[in-house]
Parts: sequence; C-alpha cells; structure tokens
Amino acid sequence: MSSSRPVRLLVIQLTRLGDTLQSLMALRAAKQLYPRLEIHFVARERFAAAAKRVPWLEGVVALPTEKILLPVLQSRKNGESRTVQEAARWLGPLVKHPWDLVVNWSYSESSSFLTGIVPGRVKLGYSRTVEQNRDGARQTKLTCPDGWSHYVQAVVQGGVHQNIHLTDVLTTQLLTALQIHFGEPADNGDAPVTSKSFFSLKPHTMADHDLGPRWRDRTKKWIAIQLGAGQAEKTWDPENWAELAREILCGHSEYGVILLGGKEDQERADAFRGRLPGLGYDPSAVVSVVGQSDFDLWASVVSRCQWLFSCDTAAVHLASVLGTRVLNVSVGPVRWTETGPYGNGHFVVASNTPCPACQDRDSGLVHACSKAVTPAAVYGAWSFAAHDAMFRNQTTLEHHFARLGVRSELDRVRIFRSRIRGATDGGGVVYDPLTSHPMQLSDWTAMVMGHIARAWYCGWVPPVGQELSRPRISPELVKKLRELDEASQVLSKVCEEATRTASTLNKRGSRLRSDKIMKIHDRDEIKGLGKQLQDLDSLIERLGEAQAPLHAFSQMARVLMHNLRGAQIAELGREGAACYQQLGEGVGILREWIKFTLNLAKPVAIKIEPLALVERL
Amino acid sequence: MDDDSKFDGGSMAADMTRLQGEVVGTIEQQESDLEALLLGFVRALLAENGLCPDPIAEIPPRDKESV
Repeated sequence: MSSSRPVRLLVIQLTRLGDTLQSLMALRAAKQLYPRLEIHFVARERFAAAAKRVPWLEGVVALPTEKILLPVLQSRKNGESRTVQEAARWLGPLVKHPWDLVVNWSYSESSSFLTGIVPGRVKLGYSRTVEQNRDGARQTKLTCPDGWSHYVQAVVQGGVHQNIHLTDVLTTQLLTALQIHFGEPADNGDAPVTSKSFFSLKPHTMADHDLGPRWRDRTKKWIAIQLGAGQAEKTWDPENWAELAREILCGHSEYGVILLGGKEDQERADAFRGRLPGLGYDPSAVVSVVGQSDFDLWASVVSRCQWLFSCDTAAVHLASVLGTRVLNVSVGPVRWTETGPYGNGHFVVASNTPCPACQDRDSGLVHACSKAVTPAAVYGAWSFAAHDAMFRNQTTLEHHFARLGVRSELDRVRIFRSRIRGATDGGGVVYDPLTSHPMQLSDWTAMVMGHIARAWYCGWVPPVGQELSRPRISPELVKKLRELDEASQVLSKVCEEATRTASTLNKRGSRLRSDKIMKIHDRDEIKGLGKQLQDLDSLIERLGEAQAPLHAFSQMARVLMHNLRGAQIAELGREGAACYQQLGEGVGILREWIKFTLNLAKPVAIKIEPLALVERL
Repeated sequence: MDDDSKFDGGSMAADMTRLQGEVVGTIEQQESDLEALLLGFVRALLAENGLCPDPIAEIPPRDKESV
C-alpha cells in the first residue's frame, strides 16, 4: 500500500452464520494482501461468536436486535421514538470517526439503512441516501454504488443461475476496491486462507465437554454429521443419515461418527438413533453434541474431524474455513454453486431429477430432489472421495459405483468435486462434474453468467467455453441454444440502439442552458428520445421474460437504471449510454458462448485409415 | 463507488449525541436525513424479524431482499 497509515474498514454482516463465515474467509484473504487493514466487524448478536474468535479482527460489534426493539414491542404508541434512541445509542461509537471503507455484505433492508448512516469515504454494497421526491418530500432511496453489488442484486438475488461462489464475489469485490482506492497489495496472495487455526478458540473446550471415551480415541478418524438445516425443505431425513452412518461404521472400522446440531435438532437426533437398532447397529456407538450450541465446541469438533457431512448449513462454511473436507448433500431449493463448500476436494451430491417442489416453493409438494438422493448414492460418493487420491486416474466414479453394485444410483444424482482454479483460468472455486449427465440450460447459463461477470468487473476473462466438453452437450441443449441465438441477436441490436439513443440524449442535453426552460423543439426532441428509451427498456424486459438466460440482462438493466446518479439530462444520457453499452458487451459474450457451444456440438468427421488388406493389394 | 459520504464524522457524531439525549421529539417532528435513516433502520429490523406486518411500503418490490 502506498501509505503506512492503517486503512479503517467497517464490515456490516447482519445475515446468518453461514454468510458471516464466508465473509470472514474473504476478509482473511484481504488481510493477508493488505496487512495494514484495520477491520471492524458488525454482526447480529446471535452470530457474533465466530467473529469474536478471529484474532486479526480489530473489533467486533454485536447488533443487539432484541434490546433495540424492546421499547417498540412494549408500547407501539410511544415505543418507536425510544427504539430510535436505543438504536442511536448503539450506533454512537460507529459514527464517531469516518471510515476509510464501509462494506455492507448483508444485502438486506436494515443493513442498507445502517450503511447509509455510517460515515465512510468509500462504500460497497447496499446503502441509503435521502432524496427529495417529485412532490418535494424527503424519502430514503436504496442505492447500490458498485458493480459487484449490481450483480448481486440483479443476478444472485434476482434468481438468475450463475456459478461464481459468494465467497469469491465478496473477496473480488473487496480486493478490487482496495486496489483502486488504496493501492497495490503487499504480496501476490499465495498464502492459504483456510486453516485449522483460523479461530482462537477457548482453551480446554473439549475438556469442558466430556464427549466420552470413544471421542478420546485418537486412533479414530471422525465424520461429523450436521443433522438439520436452516429450512426444513433443505434437510435430508435423519433415517437416511443413520443408514449412511451404519454403512460407514460397519465397513470402515477406522471411522467414528459424531452428530452435530442445535437444540431444534434434538428430534432429528432421536430419529437418527432410533433407526440404528433396526439396522443392526448400537446407537451408543455414535457420539452426539446435538443441543450444545457453544461455538467453540462446535468449531473444535469440526476442526478435529476428517469429514463433515451436511446439507446446506453454516457447518459447510465452518468446515471450509477450518480445512475439514465436506460432503455436501444438496437437497431442496439450494444454489450450491454459490454457497457450497469452498476449497479443494470437497464433494457435492445433488439430485438429477427435476423437482416441482423446488420450482414452486409454496406448492406444498414433497421434494423429489430429496428422495432422489439415497444413502447408497451418498455412500458411493463418500467412499470414492475418501480414496480419491488412490483412485485418481485409475478408476472412474461410474466404475466405483458399478463395483459397489449401485450403478443405477448415478441416474438419479449428480456428483461434483470442488477445485480452486488457478488465477490464469479465472480463479475462484469450481465444481467439476464427476457424473456424465448432459448439461442443462441452467448449468450452461450459470457458466456464461460467471464469464460475463468477470468481463464486466475483473476486466480479464479466460477463453470462452473453457470448461465445456462435447459429451455434455445434448441435442436438447442445442435446440434451446438455437432459440436463444435468435432472441439474443434481437437483444444485442436493442442494446446498440439504446446506447445510440442515450448518447444522443447526452448530446442534446449538453447543448441546453437549462433542463427546465428550453425551446419547444428541444423539449419535444428530448421527450421523443425518452419515449424511445422507455420502449427499448420494455423490449429488453420482454426478451428477459421470454428467454431465461436473458433474464439477467433485463434485471441488470433495471438495477443500473435505478442507480443512475446524474441530476441533469446530459449526465443521465451519458450514464445511460454506458449502462446499455455494458449490457451490450454482456450480450456479445453470451452470443460468443452460443456460437462456441453450437460449433462444439457439430458432428465431427472421423478420418478412417485404409485397411491393411487394401494396402497389400 | 460512493467517493464521498453524505455525512462527515463530526456532525454525524453531534447529531447522534443529540439523538441519544433524553429530550427527543416525536418522530413526526424529526426531519433530518439522519433521523429518517434511523427510523428506516428500526422499521426494517422490525420487518426482518417478522414483527412488522407491513414491511416498508415505500421500497419498490425489486429492492426487497430475496435470499
């Protein structure tokens, strides 16, 4: 960094523990590259324990939600002003001195107000300003000042498929801002981010909680099973976990199993234990810390284990941070490419069958995706993963499943292995498919969106189609891409036209002496250009509705337009033109991918050597 | 990027000190931007904790958190 002065960074993370852990991983990377960062972290009281155990954080501020809201809960009539006082009292220390950088990684309403209040030279993530509306009244407006935040709002929160992991989004967003505003990093950033000593845990945590003689057995390798999940639809039946555990414990005597979960998971733990006798296994052989919510104990256990088995829970991120391998059973409406285990060698098992309950979460239907993933399939994936190094280049997952006699399970599940890509390949975590199912349009879209985001915000991208392979391209995908080709061509032309129109608006606006008093001819012309842009916007919207992969562009157009900052017609025209140009560049990349994929899918002529018999003749 | 925050640390701290004081008028009487943001913060907290049936009406739907 150019100056030796510390850079004061305030990170606002008011979402759940999983997001807190992902944020800490991103911050560790930033701290290694910028040692002079003085990081202060705001977290919800319930989830602040993890941050408080990170030695390189300068300060952790817990948001006491209950205390702040108590007055208004006691008295709706007079409580609001006392609640505001309470909030102001809590905020006092945070607003004493301006921050060099304020990063809001919560992407929520309350956090946007908080970010708007806290003084900072540079702000990232959702924030708020107070502006005058058309009626002259002052009102707060959500703002989203930086590119990666646009991407999160339009694409990630907009429900568009994309394959950049959230930890990578946060890391890249922060490092880019640091580089722009505070100079080049101290080193090249090769140091590992995850480690067993990520947290400074209370000493004697294990001794305080006597987990029995089995756990003290140092010869055992341990598998932790996190039983629950944040939402019921994202959980796997405890009976399934029990069958999987029995399979491992009976076949691999070197392993032990420990159950993890909060107080709310007690019923699941009982169901797990209740299933074991029927499977011919003694439940007392399984250690449990279910119901013990102490962060230090939880982190100590996960840190000691070789494996963590879990659905979409914070435990996945805890294990990632601690370098414990993860087997992620991904069921329910989960986007594991964004929130799956981070690092090398983790495995994800997900359903390969379409799940109507995931598509319509209010339908009340049973999750077919959860039923498709069986204990046999998960055992197959784990036993392959546990011997991964030995198997690598010697056997395939399919052969392994065939040897176990469960080859047919692979028809219903997809299995992936995580890998950290080299910087020259685009960086970040990627999940390589180990099963040979054809690629779905959503997978293809996710790859393309990841590529477009890198082009928009990193300025450099790996070659188009780098991770595409011909066998994964099905005739169905080809058909859909041909339809998309036509629609994307139209969208490309619309973006070009909108860029031209907005540039014209900029030129006309620049010639005006005032935006309010102008010649009738000028007014009509500007009105006409405005109407033209409105029509083009609605065309972008319709194209986004007609073709799922184009939805990202209509969402992005709305976010970009919402965040235009110009006050004059000329400024708005200039900013608008830049936005449409950005969209057009993205559509251009999408079209390159379509072309590349369709070419890759074309039949290839096979050169046949003449027969030896003919040669002899 | 938001290069310059709307508020500087000094005046913000003074406003905050005033708000922390015992004499605070009714919400209707408080007109400053800071107060609007603080009130928004409190109301958003209520809504996010399921304690406010009508989450902040003035925010367009696309701005609401969806994850």
